[in-house]
Amino acid sequence: MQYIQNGLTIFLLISSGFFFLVGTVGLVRMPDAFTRMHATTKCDTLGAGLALLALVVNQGFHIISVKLLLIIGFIWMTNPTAAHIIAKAEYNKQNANLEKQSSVEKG
Amino acid sequence: MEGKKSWVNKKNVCLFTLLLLFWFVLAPELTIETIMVGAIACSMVVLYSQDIIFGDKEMPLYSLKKLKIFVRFLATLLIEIVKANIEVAIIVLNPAMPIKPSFIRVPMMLKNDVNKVIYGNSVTLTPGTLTVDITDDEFIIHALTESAAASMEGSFIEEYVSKMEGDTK
Repeated sequence: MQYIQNGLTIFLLISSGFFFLVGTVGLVRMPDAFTRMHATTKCDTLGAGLALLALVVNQGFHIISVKLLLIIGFIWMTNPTAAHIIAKAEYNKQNANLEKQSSVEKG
Repeated sequence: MEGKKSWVNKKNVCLFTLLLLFWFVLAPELTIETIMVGAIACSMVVLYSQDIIFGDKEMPLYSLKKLKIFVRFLATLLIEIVKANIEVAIIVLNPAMPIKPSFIRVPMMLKNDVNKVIYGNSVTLTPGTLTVDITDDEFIIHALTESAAASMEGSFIEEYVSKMEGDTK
């Protein structure tokens, strides 16, 4: 039982590390803000989720594991909201720039 | 608390019970003090927020049937998130990086604000797509690849959220 628990914890932590790594590599390689948002939201959703899940497995059945699951829920609710607001800001900025350019061309 | 008598109705009791359960999950241990502090704090929250929470507009969302659909939706969403995450990981690690970013507009099919939020957040959670803006008549979604853009049409998210909304009318 102990071995299964430890093995599962190690597996989940390694996968979580892998997704964080992919997220960071994506952040460096992607060309613009939107595509970077894609990479970073991914590393948060699955990376953080798997890391906390590893803690849940390691902890076993306990009140602390319920708290950890709640944290996963909250991260998965707030993370898209934050991504959404950054993307919206970038979108509005681009639109404002386009309007400025077109008005300059007209005038 | 004598004054509380008039505040007791089904809605407030439900909210109070939920908040108290949440408090017990967060509380370090169950003693008289934590129970009392929790009860006082929860009743204050209930008193202050009774006008804004569980309004008439969102009330039809909470029924047992909806909950069943929602749980099934969450399960599907989890599987899709894992699958799509692996896809994005493959794209990012591919030396050629075959991305083709584009904006797509999905016409608004929802009326309820809560359902709009659920739809927008689910789309963002599913890798490859990102909700940029929600206007009155459409969702503006940024897609990383062509296949991600194509998958937004008639997606499972849309299907489930429409189903959740469907019975409210």
